Amino acid sequence: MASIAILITAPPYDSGASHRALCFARACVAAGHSIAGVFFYQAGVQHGNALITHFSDEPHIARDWQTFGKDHKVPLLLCISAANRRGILGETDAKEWGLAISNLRQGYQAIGLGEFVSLSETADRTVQFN
Amino acid sequence: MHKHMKRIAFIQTQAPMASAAGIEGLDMAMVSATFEQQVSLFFIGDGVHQLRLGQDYAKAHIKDFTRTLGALTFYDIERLYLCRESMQQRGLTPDALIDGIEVLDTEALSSKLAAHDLVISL
Repeated sequence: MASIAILITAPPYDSGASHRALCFARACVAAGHSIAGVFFYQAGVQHGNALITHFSDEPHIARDWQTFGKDHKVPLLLCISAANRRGILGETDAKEWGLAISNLRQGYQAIGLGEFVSLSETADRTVQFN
Repeated sequence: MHKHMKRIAFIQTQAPMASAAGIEGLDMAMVSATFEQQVSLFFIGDGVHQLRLGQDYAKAHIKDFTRTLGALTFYDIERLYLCRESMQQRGLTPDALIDGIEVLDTEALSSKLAAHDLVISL
């Protein structure tokens, strides 16, 4: 059994990469491996935007990752600085920046780049979806 | 779960002024090195533009790539490679670029990448 870290640098909706990453993650779990965590960087941080909405007959990848994370206890991690630059802030961040609103999607956490390095260091493999 | 140092290759593929990719790639590389991973940087495709000398980054309102790349030795990042073909395709020669970057042919670059535990492309 291997422990796998996933890095997603592509945005939800505009790119199909995230869907492929989720298929991969599900296949890993079905094969008996574990996903150590999913780290979102660059445009990938958009997955953590609570304001993403879709009609019911459209795919909703940000929410699908939420479900996957909850079902399999997999952390969904956004790089905090990359997220802030792209307009995604948790409550604490928003307060620090003097903003009245925050928009971090439930189930996602904003953490530092160092945490991705630690995640990657302890996982057997890291796979990027671009 | 054991911790061990990984040999990580970061491939820079974008020009400095074209997008944020170059800066975010360097950030990740530097943080990885701070966490004691063995970091290599590969400049491929438009990524070779990050190495150009004589750029006015202040005017472009972006981070000074020449200075940042020059400071990489302080992070113990010394394995820097660029793709010869990418360089030539863009009409560049080594004297137009920062010092200390090893120029590699496609084949040599491939083998070098294969000698890493993890390859991240930005």
